[in-house]
Amino acid sequence: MDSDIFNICGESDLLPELEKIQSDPNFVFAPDPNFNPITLFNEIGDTIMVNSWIECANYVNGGWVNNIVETGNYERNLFFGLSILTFVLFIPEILKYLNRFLNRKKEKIS
Amino acid sequence: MINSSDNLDNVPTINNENIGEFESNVCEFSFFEFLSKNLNSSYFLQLDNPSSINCFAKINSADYLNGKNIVYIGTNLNVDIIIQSLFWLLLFSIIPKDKKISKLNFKNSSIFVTVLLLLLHFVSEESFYNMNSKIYSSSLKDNYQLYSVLLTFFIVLKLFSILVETRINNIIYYLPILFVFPGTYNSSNLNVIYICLIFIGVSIMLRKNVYKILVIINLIITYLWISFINEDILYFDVDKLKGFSSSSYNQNSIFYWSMSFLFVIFGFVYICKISLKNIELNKLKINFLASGVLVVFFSLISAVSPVINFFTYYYLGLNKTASKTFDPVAGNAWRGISSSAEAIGEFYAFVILFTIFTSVYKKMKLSLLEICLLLINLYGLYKSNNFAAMTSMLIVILLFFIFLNVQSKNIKYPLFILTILIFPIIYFSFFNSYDLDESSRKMIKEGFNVSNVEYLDKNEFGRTPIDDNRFYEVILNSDSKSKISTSLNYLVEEYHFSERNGIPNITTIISSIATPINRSEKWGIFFGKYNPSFKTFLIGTGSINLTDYYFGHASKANFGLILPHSSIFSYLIFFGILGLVVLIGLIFSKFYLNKNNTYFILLNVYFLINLLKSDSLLYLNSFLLFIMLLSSNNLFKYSKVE
Repeated sequence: MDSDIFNICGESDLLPELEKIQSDPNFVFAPDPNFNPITLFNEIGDTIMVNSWIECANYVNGGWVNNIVETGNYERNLFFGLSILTFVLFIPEILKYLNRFLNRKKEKIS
Repeated sequence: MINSSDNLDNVPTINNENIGEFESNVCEFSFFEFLSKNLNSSYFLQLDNPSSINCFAKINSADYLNGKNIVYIGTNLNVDIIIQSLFWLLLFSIIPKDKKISKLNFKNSSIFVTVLLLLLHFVSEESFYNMNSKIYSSSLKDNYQLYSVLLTFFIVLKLFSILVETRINNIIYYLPILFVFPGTYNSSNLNVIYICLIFIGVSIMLRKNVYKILVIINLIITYLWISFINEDILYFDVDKLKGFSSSSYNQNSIFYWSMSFLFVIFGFVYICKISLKNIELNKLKINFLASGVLVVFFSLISAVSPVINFFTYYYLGLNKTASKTFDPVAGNAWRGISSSAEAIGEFYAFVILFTIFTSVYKKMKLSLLEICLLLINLYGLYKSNNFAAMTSMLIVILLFFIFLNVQSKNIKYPLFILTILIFPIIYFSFFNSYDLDESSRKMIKEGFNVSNVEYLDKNEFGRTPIDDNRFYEVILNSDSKSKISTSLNYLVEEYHFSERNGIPNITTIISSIATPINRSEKWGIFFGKYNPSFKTFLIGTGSINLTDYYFGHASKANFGLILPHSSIFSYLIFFGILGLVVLIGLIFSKFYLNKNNTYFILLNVYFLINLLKSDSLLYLNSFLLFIMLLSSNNLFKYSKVE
């Protein structure tokens, strides 16, 4: 998770602060003027803009990411399911081509 | 429906007091669970297209608006495409196989090209898809949503290619069914019929050199259309044109729609060519009658219940939800499941016309069942309140019987002319309250009404130059250069100068056609908005792309879908005056070659009269019916009854 935080929010030595925040439900994030705001997404597509490194780390720690497409699990699973189906649909054609190829080889040998 | 949450006992029965429970339990109750508990409740259903896959077919909140409970059902781009495609493929598989198999060549390559075109579509209409999916991105990197959509279409086309070869000769019998099943996807600007025709069109193009030459010509014209773009337009709300109109104006969208449109024409013309020769007219007639009845049936049941309304929208693939009540729109026309009352009225009238023609041609009396079906179609026509379709149908029937029964040329032709003129004569004698000058002024004023001309000075009586019919003064105003469309500017100039020399001018001609068919206002708005440059007037702005017409010139009519109300004007926008001339030339050459085929000529004349005042060609089913009619010279082989 730490690597995700550094990848998305950038390098910082504020990581130990994160644990303190997690135990404080009333913590209010102060915007950091030196931090370039980042938009984060959750898995159902909600978005949030974070204005400080610690706020960003907190959300990334909670499963939010900066690129929604990369972690669209439902879409990814769907894609792999559809890929298998596509392969299955092509099996008869692959077999046909394979047969043709083998027959040609046999003809050449004979 | 299927996406259950095992939460049936907790689903509340909806009323305006507990609506908050649905608001706070978003994506919790499935639609099926909701229906089970709310069979007798009062509510309206609305789709929430941008839902995640997880929230598909679940209740995504509810509202109490204007005294009505509105319940939002989650739908999702990927799942919609899968479910709707599978349902329609299942229906397609019901079409009986033909003994004769028509092989399609280069099937896998055609699928690949079609999917590539679809990829271009998804990239080019990003704004449309952003509104229909929270996570939509046109990026190609790790975009599993887009990969899934494209793979789904790949699979759908693969299955279609397996099914189509044995059925292609029978497809034309089911053309009327497209008025029941338009086949438009819920959350995308795509239509399954359109995609399948692209596939067939690409396959035919790869086979024949003539088509390859046409593709090259089309590529050159597309290049010109792309070069005319001054500014990309990101989003145009296609509304009831969904699936058959571009929602953006950029080089990719112009390329996609122009190429795909050409392939659709190739594909459908091929289907007509191979199947119309040996068609059984009676079977086609029954299918037309049955489709008309089905349209009436689904329209009626959709107005009874919001749940049925939802299902008809989703599974019939309607462009927009069916009418929710039996009340006509704006006090006259009732559209039912169709996107347009006008288009469906034309269809009903065509069904009646076709039934009469076929029965006479085959010398067969109508059976009791056919008479019943015909009466239901008449009811549909009555509800659509399409006066123009009814009148033109009557004229064509009269002309038909004159041609068949009157042998003497001395009687036949005067009767023919009298029949054509009788309705205009009645109109101008009894109903028309405008003279020609006044008609022209009326249309020009409508054009100015939608133009941003607030800068005009008023006289001491608070009247502008427009109120006093001093139109030329308006266009001489230096502010008018950018505020008045070029077409309106031209019409005003023509009108103004012809007053001096007394020669009939184009403005008066258009107005005198517009007034009796109640199009002064609509065509006035068209000219107020239509702002072509010389180049775009010559060759248009691109196939089935209204976006530039809509937003290219600022006017008061840039909100809501206000269509040109004439397919001729729509095609003038798409292909320019040169395209229109070529198209009309092709139609008349076809007429000339089949001048002895009364059936062919009259059916086409009926359709052409209606196209003058309606937007029917902007709907895929009417467009395909028109192509079928133009290809139907073999349908009725002889001009006289055998």
